[in-house]
Amino acid sequence: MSKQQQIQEVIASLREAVADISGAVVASPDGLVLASDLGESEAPRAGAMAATGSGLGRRIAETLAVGSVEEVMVKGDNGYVLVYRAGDKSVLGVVAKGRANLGLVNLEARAAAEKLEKILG
Amino acid sequence: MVWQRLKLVVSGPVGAGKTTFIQSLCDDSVVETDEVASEEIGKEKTTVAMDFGRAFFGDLELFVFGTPGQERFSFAWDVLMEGAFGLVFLVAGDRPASFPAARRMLDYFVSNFAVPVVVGVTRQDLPRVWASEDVAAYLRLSPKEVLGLNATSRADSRRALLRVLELWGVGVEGESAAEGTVPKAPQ
Amino acid sequence: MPVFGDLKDFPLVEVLPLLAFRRGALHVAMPESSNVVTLYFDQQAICGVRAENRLLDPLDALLVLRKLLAAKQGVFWFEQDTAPEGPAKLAWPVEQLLLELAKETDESVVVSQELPDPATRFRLTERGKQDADVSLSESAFLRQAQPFLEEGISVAELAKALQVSGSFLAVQLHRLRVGGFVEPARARDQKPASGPETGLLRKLWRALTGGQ
Repeated sequence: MSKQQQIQEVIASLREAVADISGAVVASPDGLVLASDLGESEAPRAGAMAATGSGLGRRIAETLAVGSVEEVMVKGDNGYVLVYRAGDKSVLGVVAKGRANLGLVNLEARAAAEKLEKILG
Repeated sequence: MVWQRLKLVVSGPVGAGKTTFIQSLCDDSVVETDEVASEEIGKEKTTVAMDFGRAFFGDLELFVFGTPGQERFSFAWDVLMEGAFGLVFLVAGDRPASFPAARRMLDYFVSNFAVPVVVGVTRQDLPRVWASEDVAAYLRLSPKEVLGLNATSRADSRRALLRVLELWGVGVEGESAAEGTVPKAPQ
Repeated sequence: MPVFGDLKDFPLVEVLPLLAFRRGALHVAMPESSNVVTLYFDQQAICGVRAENRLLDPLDALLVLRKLLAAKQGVFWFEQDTAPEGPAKLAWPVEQLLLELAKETDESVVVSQELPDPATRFRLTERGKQDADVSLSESAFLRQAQPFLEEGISVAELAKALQVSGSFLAVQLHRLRVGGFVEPARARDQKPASGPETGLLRKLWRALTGGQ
């Protein structure tokens, strides 16, 4: 399987593992989409936002000395957006429904991030 | 001590010199949010959220925010523009290939935000670079809204800031900001 | 301090207006030909076109100009004050020339970077309000869009109002813009400038200029 296919696989398994995740995007740290299941028109924006969220979160965590950033969460009244760093070469953005079990989402998303880190080196 | 505050935004396409300009203008060390660039942009890193720095003028504190340059980060531009009293928009004068994208970006800002915009044409130290009057003609701006500058120069960054004030009508004897000629800014 | 660039990023139709008030020579080198074409500017007109080592007659000059305006490959650079050797064979006002030739430009010449951002607001220019000189393909569109463009409207909002796709609209607006019928609105012109207190701005100004 090519790297591209492997990344797409990670997204597919993540969706399968957690029904309440409604979409995911994998992007480079500077916002270019590597893979996503969000649809052509949404993906570029989501990729850039994941990078912004991750980059900003990292800077905030460093500046205010709370350690290295593990996740950035935006909680809306209708769902969540979570962003995880997946090594140095990518970030993972996840959109989840309001009723999602955050513990489960975190567990599966972090595992997915680790897989991504291995794939991209 | 009560600080009086103003906010300035610095924007422009990738590689125009925004982060450098903010470093030249600010007194504090600048907080950056950059990441390794995946594309060929002529440098190693690129801003993904914003740059932030401060400059002090007596008890007046100037907050300076830099935006990312790529179009995909356009969602952040209006967030960053909130409450700004002016915009400095930088364009690399040695790269006319970037001008159409620059104009596209500039049109967005000029048509949505009712604050003065000063365009800074950077890289004036290079032998082959567009003059500010020609960039003004291309962008359909009056020459007083465009100036050449060196992003590494503190004096030049202050000149750009001064120009924003002049476009507000400050420091210009009996002239309104919208029309009339502006006396040449101190060189 | 020259004007220069590459046609793939910077079509000639965008360069000519910049040179309208200048005096000198615009050289264009295209990959298919070993010769350089030169356009001479003086007194707000093109006064000569040089190709294959001679100054062209009006008919040939027009053919060459059309080809140049459609070219997507090549580089150009401007030389201040250079004049044609020999008497001027042409006197074509730049603005009028652009109006004529711009009507003929093919849609495919539009570079995607030149298309406006969906949030950019447009309004009619003086000429757009009169709708004279609009080519047939654009007049119907302009007529539909006119009422919305009077006040100023964003590309995305206009697409919704006219029920057309955003990307189609972006191309139409770009063409109208090149033709001089619409322009990006200036927010400062439309809203009263309500900024920070003048006192604060004056304070900053004094600090920067060393007081007065």
